[in-house]
Amino acid sequence: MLCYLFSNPVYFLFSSDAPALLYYSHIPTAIIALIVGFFVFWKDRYSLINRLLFAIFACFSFYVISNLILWTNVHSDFMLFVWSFLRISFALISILSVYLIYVFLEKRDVSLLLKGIFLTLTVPIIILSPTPVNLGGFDITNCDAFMFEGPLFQFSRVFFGALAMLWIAVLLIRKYRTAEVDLRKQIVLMGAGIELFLFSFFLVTFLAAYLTDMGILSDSRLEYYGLFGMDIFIFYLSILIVRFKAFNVKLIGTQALVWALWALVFGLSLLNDLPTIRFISGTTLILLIIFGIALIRSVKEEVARRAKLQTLSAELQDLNDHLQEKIDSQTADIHRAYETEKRSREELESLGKAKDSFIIDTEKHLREPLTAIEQGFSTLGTKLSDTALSDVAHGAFRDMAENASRLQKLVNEFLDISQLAVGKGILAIVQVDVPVLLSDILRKLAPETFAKNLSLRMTVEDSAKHVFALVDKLKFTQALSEVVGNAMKHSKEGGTVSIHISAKPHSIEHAFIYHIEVTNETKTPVGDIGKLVEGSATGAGVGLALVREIVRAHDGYIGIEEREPGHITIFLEVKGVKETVIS
Amino acid sequence: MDIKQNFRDHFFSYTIVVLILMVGIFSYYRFMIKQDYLVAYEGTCDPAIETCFIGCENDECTAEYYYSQMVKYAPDLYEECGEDINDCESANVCLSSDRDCSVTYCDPAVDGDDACTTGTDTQNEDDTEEQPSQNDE
Repeated sequence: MLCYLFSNPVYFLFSSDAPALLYYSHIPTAIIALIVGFFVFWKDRYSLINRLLFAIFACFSFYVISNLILWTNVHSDFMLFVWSFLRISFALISILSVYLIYVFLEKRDVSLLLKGIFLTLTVPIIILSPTPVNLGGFDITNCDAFMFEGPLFQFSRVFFGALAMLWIAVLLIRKYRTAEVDLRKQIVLMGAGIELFLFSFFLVTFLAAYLTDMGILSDSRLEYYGLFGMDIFIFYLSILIVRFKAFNVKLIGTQALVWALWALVFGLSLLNDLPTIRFISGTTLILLIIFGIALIRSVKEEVARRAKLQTLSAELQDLNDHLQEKIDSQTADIHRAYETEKRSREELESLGKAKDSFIIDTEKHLREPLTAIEQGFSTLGTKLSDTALSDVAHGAFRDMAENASRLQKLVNEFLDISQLAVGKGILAIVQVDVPVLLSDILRKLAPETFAKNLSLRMTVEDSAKHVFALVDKLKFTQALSEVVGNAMKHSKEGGTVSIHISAKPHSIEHAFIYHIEVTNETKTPVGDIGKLVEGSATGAGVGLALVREIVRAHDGYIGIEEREPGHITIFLEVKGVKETVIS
Repeated sequence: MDIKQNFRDHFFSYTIVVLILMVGIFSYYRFMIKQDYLVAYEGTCDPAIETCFIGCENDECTAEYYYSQMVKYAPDLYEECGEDINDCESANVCLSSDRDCSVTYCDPAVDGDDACTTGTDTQNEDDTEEQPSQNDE
């Protein structure tokens, strides 16, 4: 049935018969409550206290929207359907408030018994709400159902409000007595907020309805003012959130203030009196939103910067306090390292000196006796050749002389290597015509050449003509003799030993790189050819090791390759110069 | 989590939600579909014959009108007058077919003298009849 004295609303909620403050008191309050509820829930949805707060705000918003519908709608059946939920909202708001305070104070969920008590209080009102016991009919003249509300309905209006306020007051006072200072402040804020909200919401709503029933008021619009209790509650909650980080929500004061400003201006735009006011407040709201967002962003940045600065400042302070200790510690470490290095250097120098001294002594003690032995054998050999000795004796004497000579040569080579390795070998650098030198060497090695029926071949490139090697003639002769002798020694019978000489210009003017290659066909398989140059100290390869040291002492290069299967090439590179340049 | 333990931890919220859903369904059925409720409204009243309630046309009460308090069962009223009871004569009387209908006149002892007409006004309305109240459920 239609309420015949009222007009149909536009867009479901907007009616020309609605009092001026209706939308201003209802819509912003419902929206703010929902936003705050969602915000708190979203920040920590698994926290019981956040969920309870959200439930209270949701119930309150539902009540406000239902109330708004009842104020603007004119269809009795729909209004009765909505009306049946009003007392349910009342009951839930009061019981959930008590539940919330319990959890807020004790930081844990309530017992099963208490949950049972809560259910016992709320279940009857929920079940009976839509029944004729509580809601029998509708007055289409005044467009309300007050005259048909059952006694339980009317009683519950006061009962739940009073119950919640008393219960919460007892809990708060009890906890306040035993709480610490910080918690006491929170208790005061929370208590003030929720008690004021409950008082204003239940009492004012009750009074409005009661006085309307009595006929003292024409309608119950007085209840509008009761809804502002929620704004007071949100105000206290904001303080708790900003100052005490309650509900696990981080919110800065500026954010809260700006939101409040938006809500107030938004509410202004809903005032029904003048369209001009609505336009102006709407425009102001848009501008406020833009500026508010900018303000919040800048304050947030500022807060973050300050927090970072505080952290850095703390680190700096720590650094300052311990700087001297750190410096002293580092200095001690450096000093220790320096002392260690100094000791190591001194030991190294001393070892170097000892080594040099050993080499000199060894050279003196080894060369001199061996030279004496070799000379002795030579003299004795000359004298013995005239005497009548058996062939065996001659043979034995010859062996001894050869071995002494070989030993002397070996020792001399070892000592030369050592001298060159430690840089003690003094080089007398002169310009040497290498082809001439090699020709002399080949002449001396002629017996070995004939013995093995070897072919010797030496080629000199045009680039090496008129180019001299800058070397110590004696030592270089020794090195080349060793290389060619080694090639002959390892060649197959009837094989060929090739010597190839070339020179290429160096980047420095008039300088050359003198290149000598000696290639032979080996009679034994080539193993690790690198080892042939690196050599060992046992005698096999000592000659090439000496050659290596001689070449290195000349800042030259020596290498060995197998360019064809079974053919070994040893190549040397030393400094060279054109014959016109005077060294 | 164990279902039993989960239910024990949340049985308050589960119970409330289930009950509200059930109440919502019942409420919708009762009010929107069955329309099982009474409707109260102001019916016509002749102050010459009856003791009527006095109503004001405006807030300043410069003009008065007289009415009786009618209560009818919503489905009956729908049948007789449709959604709007304006210009519906049947709305002002309790018919024999009405299941739950009552007409209440002003009682100075209950409602106060100011709320009621004195009954001295006479009105020669031959077709105005007083219907006995029918308060059967």
